[in-house]
This record gives sequence, C-alpha cells and structure tokens, in this order.
Amino acid sequence: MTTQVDRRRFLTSAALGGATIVGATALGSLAPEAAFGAAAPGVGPGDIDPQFAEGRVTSISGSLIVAAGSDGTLSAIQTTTGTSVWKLTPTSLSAIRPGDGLYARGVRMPDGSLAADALWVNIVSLDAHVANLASDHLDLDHHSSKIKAHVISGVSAAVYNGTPPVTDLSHVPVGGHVHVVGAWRPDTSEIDISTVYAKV
Amino acid sequence: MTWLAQAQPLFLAGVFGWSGVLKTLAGDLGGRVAGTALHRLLGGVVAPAAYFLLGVAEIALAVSLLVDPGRATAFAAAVMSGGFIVYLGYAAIAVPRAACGCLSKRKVRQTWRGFARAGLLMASAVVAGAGAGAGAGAGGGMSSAWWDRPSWGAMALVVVAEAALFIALSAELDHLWLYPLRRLRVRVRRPLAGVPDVVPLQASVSVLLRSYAWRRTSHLVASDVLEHWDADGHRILVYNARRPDGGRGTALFAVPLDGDAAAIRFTFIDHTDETSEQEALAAPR
Repeated sequence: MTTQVDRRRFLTSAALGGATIVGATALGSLAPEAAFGAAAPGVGPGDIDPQFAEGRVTSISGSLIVAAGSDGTLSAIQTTTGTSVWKLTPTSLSAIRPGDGLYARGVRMPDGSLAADALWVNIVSLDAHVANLASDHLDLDHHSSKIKAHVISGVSAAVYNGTPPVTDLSHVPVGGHVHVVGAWRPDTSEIDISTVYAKV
Repeated sequence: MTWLAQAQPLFLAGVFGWSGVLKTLAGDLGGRVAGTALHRLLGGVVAPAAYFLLGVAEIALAVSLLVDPGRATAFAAAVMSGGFIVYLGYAAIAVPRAACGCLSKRKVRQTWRGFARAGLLMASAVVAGAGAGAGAGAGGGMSSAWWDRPSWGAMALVVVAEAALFIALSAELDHLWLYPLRRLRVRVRRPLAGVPDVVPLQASVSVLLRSYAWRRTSHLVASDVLEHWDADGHRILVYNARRPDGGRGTALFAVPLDGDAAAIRFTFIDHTDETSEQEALAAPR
C-alpha cells in the first residue's frame, strides 16, 4: 500500500508539473511487454480484425487468458502490467473470472496470441426502455427481455441531453428510452450501470 | 344477477370492436405484424392478411354482440377468446420474445398478463352464455339482452370494472396509466436521489476526450484507463502509451475536477530512453 501511495504521489507530481526528469526504473511495473511495439497491420473489408478478440473466458493461467469466441474459435490473450482492464471500473487482471465475457484489443503476435493493450470485461452497450426506477436499480426492457440494471454508488453516471455525466440517476425518465453502457453479471439478466444516456 | 350477464356483451363488444378497428384501420400491416408471433406462425406474406381478416372478424363479432346478444354470439366470443389463449401459448413456447400484436402497434413483452387478459374475455363470454341460457330456459319470459329491463347502474359498474381490469392487464396500455403513476412516485419519493455528490470517472474521461489536449496526444495512447485517483483538485488518469517510433511509456492526464478542459495537463513518461518530457497543453480559451 505504501508503495502504491508513493508511486501515485510521484506520478501526481509529474502530472501536475513537479517533475521534469522521470526515469522509467522509478516506475517499474508500468512498463508493458516489448511486443506492444509491433506495428499493427491494416484490415481489409470483411477481414477479421487481427487486433481484436472476444469471447467468454474459459481459463486464466498467470497472465494468459483463453477465451472462447462467439464463432467458436479459441483466443489466447496475453496480458501485461500495461494492459488496461475495465470491469465497470478500471481494475486489474485479478478481477477477471472464468465465465466472464471480454473484448480485447492489442497486437497479434507471431504465435497467434493477442498481446492485449486493453480488455473490457462483461461490457454491454444497449438501447432499452425504462420500465421503473427503484431505490437501487432501474428496470429495463430490452428487446422484450427484462433487465435489472443496478446503480453502483459513486460509479454509475447519467448523461442527460449530452451534458457532462453526473451520479444522480433520479431524472432517468420512466417510460422513456435510454442507452446504457454497463457491466453484465454473467449468466444473469442483470447489469451494473456505468453510464446511462437519456433525454429528459 | 341478470344484470351481470346483460353487461357482458357490452364489455366484449367494446373490446373486440376496439381491437378490430385497430387491426383493420392500421396502415402498414406488414410493419405492424413484423416482430409478432403471428408473423412467425404464418410467414411474412400471409400474416398481414390474416391480421386484417382477424380484425374484420372481431368487428363483426362486436356488432353481433351488440345487436343480437345470446348464446350463439357468446359462444363465438368464447371461441375467439380460446383462440387467443392458444395463440399466446404458442407464442410463449415458439417465440417467447415476440410481441403479441393484439391491441396496439406497441410491441411489448408478453407475460402472464396477456394470458390473464384472454382469460378475462373467456370468463366474460361464459357468463354471457350462461345468462343467455338461463333466459332461454325461463320460457322466454326473461331475456339477457342488455336493453331488456336493464339495471343501468349495475351494468355500468360491471362494464367499467371489467374495462379497468382489462386495461390493467394490457401491457400495451401501460403508457396511459402505469408509467404516469410511476413517474409521479419517482417525483415524490426520488428513489435514486440520495447518491454521493462525486465526480464520476466517466465525467473526467468525457471532458478529456473532448479536449484539445486529447486531440494533440491521443495518438500516443494505447490503452484504456489503467488507473485513476484524485489529487489537488485534479483527477489523474493513467494510460499505457506508445510513441510513434514504437517506444513505450505512460501517459498521464491531470483533468480538473471542475471540468475545465482548457486546464488539462499531459505528461508522457518515456520508458524507452528513461527520460521524460512534460508538456502542459493549454487550449486557446
């Protein structure tokens, strides 16, 4: 914890102007693998994007994630300390569980694995109809399916009419349509809300 | 209890007439039927025609119920209601996410309420038929026709109550009463208002993504947010970064918590040659 605080204090001073020379060795764990320096190939129309992978996590071994894609293919996804992991909030590899769904973007390695720059775990983006507001969640209808969308205190935000996000979701219109970005709770019809976009 | 049976043809005629008019006068029948279980059952060519003919049959039944209430029309209403129940059962099994297409162009999820609504129609038809049978059994001295020695007050009460129950069971009509009630409850009770007044991460990211600093530096950013924290009125956002020549580094953005995009500061920590360059990018105000 102390190391984390010192590191953040160090980075804060750099970000806010206190530092002029910063050595990489002072940061250590931030450095990604050398593989990330590879150039990304172009993608033709209809081709599979080699920089992208998706699927349900079947196993996690150290920094290697294996995911079964929706088309049945298996993807080997290599992570590093420089890989960002989103699971409702920025988090770490340890938050990923077998059964999670993920999208990964990175650089395809010669062995076929994907060296991930970023992972988005259980992310969903959906249009929905607001059926009700409760004290801790929204009831949504999405393509004739009922979805319970949990409001996470301090995290869930609402964007009303394109204005900056706020944590007050009480103005989400019952009976109206919204767009929701959130994190799916695997194998349920429930999500945790990241952002609700609504017109009021 | 003759008034109870006398009221049923009025209720049934109202429902079937309304439903029939909606079906027959609807423009774009193909669009109305698309996404319903009827479309799945009959296909895209036959379903619109069947939908229209069903509407005509409902109107004919409604008129018959009004002008000639009796066992025959009650039986026809029961058959129609039974058909709806069978249709809903098919939809629930074959295409559970399909809309009913019953009473409105609104395509709503089918639940137990649809079955209960069809059951209400069936029960009403059975009561009407039983009343007509009792009237006929009385040697013609009693009639269950709604205009024959009516108890207007009781009949009106029954029709209104049944209509209210029918509306309550119709998900297509929730926007007329249920959502306004829920909106009123939300306005009064404010169920989600008691949240901590903090600046959500998404707000800082949103400010950053629209900023001049981001336009100048986003080509260096290789990841999503790695981590973040607040310090001195700023939110520090950390990204994995990559220089155009392939060199690796860390991108730090200090985003003011007050959302002042012009005051965002950017720092690139270079991991390749172990030196850093810091630049504070201030957009023209």
